[in-house]
Amino acid sequence: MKQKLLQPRTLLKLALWVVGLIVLLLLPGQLNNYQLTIVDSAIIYFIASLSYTVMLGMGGMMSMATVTFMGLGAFFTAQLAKNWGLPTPLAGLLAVLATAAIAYILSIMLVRLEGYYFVFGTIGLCNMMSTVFQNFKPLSNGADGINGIPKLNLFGFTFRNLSDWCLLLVVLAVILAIGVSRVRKSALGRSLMSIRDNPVTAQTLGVNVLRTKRIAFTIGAFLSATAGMLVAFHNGVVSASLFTFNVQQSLLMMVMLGGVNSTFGALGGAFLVQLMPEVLRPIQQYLRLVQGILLILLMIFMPMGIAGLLQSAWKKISKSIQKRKGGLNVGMQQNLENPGG
Amino acid sequence: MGMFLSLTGSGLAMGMIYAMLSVGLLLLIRAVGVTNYAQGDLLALGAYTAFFLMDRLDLSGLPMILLMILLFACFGAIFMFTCYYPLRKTKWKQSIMVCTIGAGMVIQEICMIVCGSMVKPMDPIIPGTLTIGTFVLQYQYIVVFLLSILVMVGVYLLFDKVYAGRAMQAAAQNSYAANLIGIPAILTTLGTYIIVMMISGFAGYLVAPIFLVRTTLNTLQSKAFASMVLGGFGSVPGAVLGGLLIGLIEAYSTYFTTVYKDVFVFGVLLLTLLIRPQGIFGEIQLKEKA
Repeated sequence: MKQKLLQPRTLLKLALWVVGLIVLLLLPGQLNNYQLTIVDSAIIYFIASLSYTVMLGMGGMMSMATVTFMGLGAFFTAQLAKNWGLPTPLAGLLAVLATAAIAYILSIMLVRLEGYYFVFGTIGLCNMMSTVFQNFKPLSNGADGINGIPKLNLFGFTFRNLSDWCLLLVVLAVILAIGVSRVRKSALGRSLMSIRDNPVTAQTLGVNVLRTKRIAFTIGAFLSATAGMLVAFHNGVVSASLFTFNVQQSLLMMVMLGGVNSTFGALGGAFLVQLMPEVLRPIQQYLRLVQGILLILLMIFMPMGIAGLLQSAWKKISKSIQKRKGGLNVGMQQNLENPGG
Repeated sequence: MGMFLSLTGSGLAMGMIYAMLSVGLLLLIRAVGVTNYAQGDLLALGAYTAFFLMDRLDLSGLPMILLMILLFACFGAIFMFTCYYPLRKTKWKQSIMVCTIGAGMVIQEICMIVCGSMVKPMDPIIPGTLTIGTFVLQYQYIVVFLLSILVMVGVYLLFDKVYAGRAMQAAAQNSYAANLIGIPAILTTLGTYIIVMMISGFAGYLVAPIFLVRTTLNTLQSKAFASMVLGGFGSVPGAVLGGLLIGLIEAYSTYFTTVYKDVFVFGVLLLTLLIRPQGIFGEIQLKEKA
């Protein structure tokens, strides 16, 4: 009975992925430049929100320092590519790895903190680095930012226009999303989720809590740094204003909107938040007001985001299908499958 | 020497503002278990309310203070009913926190819509500067310091001596037991929210002449977080002490550098978390109750 339920669900998921991929691959040809910019930014923010999926959805660690690592990735990339003259793929890779290394070192200190303290620690980190980005000339050229970053030149193919970028971003996003879902299904992912749900029990079962959290933090930073690197190459210009605490809050909003524990949800959330300024253009001055109200309503009615809403809707549908097929045995089966109700 | 004293003076005054913010934060965490990310926006709301009353409605003196207190009470109630009441039984702990982020955005926008989005100045309560030799300090800083001490003493008296205050503490510590005794948890939560709003709003009113009335007052909130951690998570005197320390650290660091003072402050925060996460007066760790 259970397998019968799983089959159509996985088939549906697979079908959705394939359709989505086809749409995204055909899209660059159809859209104009302006729409492509939105799609590209949405995908880049999606990659950054994947870091939330790993850290918050699986690990239960709410980190407010995602934009900090994005900024580090972006600024390192810019410096390495522009001022040190490294070939661009190498610059990007080194920048991401360097940021991940810094994140690992920071995580040694940060993951010892529980709950609230961790959040405050990352808030402190975010604010501190925000000031550093604004003022520390050797890294970020102060408030002016760095411009004239060379275009990404991968195996001789230079990504100049937006539709090339869109293809590359889609491919990268898919690869990273598959990576995240592999992690989720691996032993690391399961240990992480057990830490999220009950750290004490996890420890008694032999999970090395601190080490797993450190790895999760580093993976999250790796994803944010990748997003930052893409920002640097895509826009050609990076400045400190892209990486402030306010941007962090809107990133959080994207993640919460789409659903924290779902990759699809993060994608939907990123697209929605990027599209909102366009859709709401007639009432543009009330944009942030609408976003705020939406966020409040969202948290009251759909705390797991849109993905959570769809998941619970799917569960209800499948339950009612099962009821119709089951008959007398349904009650007992339902009790066996969902002991908690 | 004079400069040291004037830095101390302004540091203490700002420290009291941070202390008020972090006490408000702490009260909310103790009472309802939710980190309120809109604390800075409540401060801004207080500043805008004062501006609105003084500028648009041309009130001043006692009627303004009374009306301001009344408005703060209303705002506190509205805040609770949107951000806490529908969510109090949720299983997903972070949703209340994110809800407060949304509320913060809404508050910012409404302030800008009602009062216009330009930065506005506000007259200090006592204009002018006190100058003794090299010691230079605006009177407003002294006013801020004295008035906030009064407010803090008032809050302390409320929670320790008056029955209503102790009832609120009881409901905060164990709402089930409090309900059994007959203390209505909803009313005490409402009371806590109103008091927090009044503290933050009043702090906003005090700080507006110094920092000008604008929505970015909410950056003071991060420093309030830092003071709460520094002083000890969970104790009111700790929050006050932490606030004063952060204010002083910030003021002294301006002697060395103007732009990196945030780095100093948050560096201290990170150091505290590294060495002694409970802070100075730290008590046992509080879990989120939501």
